[in-house]
Amino acid sequence: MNTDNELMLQLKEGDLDKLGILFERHKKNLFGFFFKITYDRDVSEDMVQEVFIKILKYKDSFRGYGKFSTWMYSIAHNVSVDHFRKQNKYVFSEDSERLISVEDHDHELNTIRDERFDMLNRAMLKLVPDKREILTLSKIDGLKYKELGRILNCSENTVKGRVFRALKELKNIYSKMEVPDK
Amino acid sequence: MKKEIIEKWMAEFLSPDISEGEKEELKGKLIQSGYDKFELEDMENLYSMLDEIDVPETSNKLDMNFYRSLELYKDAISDKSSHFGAFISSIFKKKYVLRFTYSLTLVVFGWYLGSWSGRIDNNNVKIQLMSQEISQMRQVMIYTMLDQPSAMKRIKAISYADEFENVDDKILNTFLDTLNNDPNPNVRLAAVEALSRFPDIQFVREGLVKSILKQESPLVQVALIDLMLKLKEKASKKELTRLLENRDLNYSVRSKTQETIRLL
Repeated sequence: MNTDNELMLQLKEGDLDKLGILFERHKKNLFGFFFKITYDRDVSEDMVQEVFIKILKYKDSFRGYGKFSTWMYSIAHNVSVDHFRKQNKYVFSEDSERLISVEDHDHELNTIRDERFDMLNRAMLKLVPDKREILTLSKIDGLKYKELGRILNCSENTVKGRVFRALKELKNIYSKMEVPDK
Repeated sequence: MKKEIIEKWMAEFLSPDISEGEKEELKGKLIQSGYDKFELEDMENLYSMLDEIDVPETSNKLDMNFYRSLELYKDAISDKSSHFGAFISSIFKKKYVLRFTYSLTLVVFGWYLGSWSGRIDNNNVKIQLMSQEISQMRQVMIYTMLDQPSAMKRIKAISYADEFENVDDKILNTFLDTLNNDPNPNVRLAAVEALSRFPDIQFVREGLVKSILKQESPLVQVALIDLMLKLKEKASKKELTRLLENRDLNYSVRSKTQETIRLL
């Protein structure tokens, strides 16, 4: 089986069908990444599509030295930044008591029965998008802090600090939430 | 202790890439710097829960849009590289000439009628005629494009139907024919999507039900099964039950079919 890097190099050579294999391999994880940041299925699917269009557009910039997934998530990060920039009504200050339109996502959340996860999802939605993003990225299999630094264009130590601060804030929000009666 | 160092230790402590020994060592350092053992465990548990957040399945729309875009891109590339002569000769193939002439005649005729109606100062008639012409031209375009070897062009042809307020039976029958016979599953998916807009037309509904057993692609089967559920089409239970008799049926399609029969 060809590695992702081999497929990318073949894609660069003009074998466009190789993008289909990369899509099948990564669509689920990418969708999961976007969903955990946006909590919106349609938007997440559009963002996955956008990533693959950009892969096609910028295929010549892939050198094959680093991991394909690092490169792909750099593109995903840019897509996410663009999305939240356009939707700046959802981006809030560092104030942990900021308002967020959780109601918009209730239809997604209602499907999640487990109360703890319902609370976790609500707590995640109260984080600013870049904090949701760093936590989600840090949980992706195979991506180490060093690679996250490349994706986010910052140092490994900065990544570690950001992961910690995002998790600490999530924990504070989560702890303040009362578990609803069963 | 510097805040940055503690943050770094904590992030490393949470990382799955360290050994048990390293983890214990970091835990000791964090406790020494003021962290409570239970607080660390809480952080660790919360961080682990992030792995288990429910994520829905992706829809067929994602696959369809992706493959559409890929086909479009391929077409654009091949169009660029195709020889000018081949382009000219394709233009002058007999069926194109005929259809082009027909379209042009409609435009000229429409323009003539339009200007004539303008003379009697009847703008409504003019607009109506113009929209009829456009509609007729689009229909001609759809038939022409559905004959193309490129799957992308056939998908585009089907998507033109979205622009019609009313689609005539001939077009709908053509789409049903595409759904049952087109070799490309993405084109067939586009046909399902287009036909799903007309659930109130009896022959379309029946055609969609009958098509279930004619499909081999799991993607198209799932799209049709989802549609049956959405339309609450009880008449499809017979076809769905027969679909289950197929021993080679894809596992996911089988589960979806069983669930849909149960819900119907």
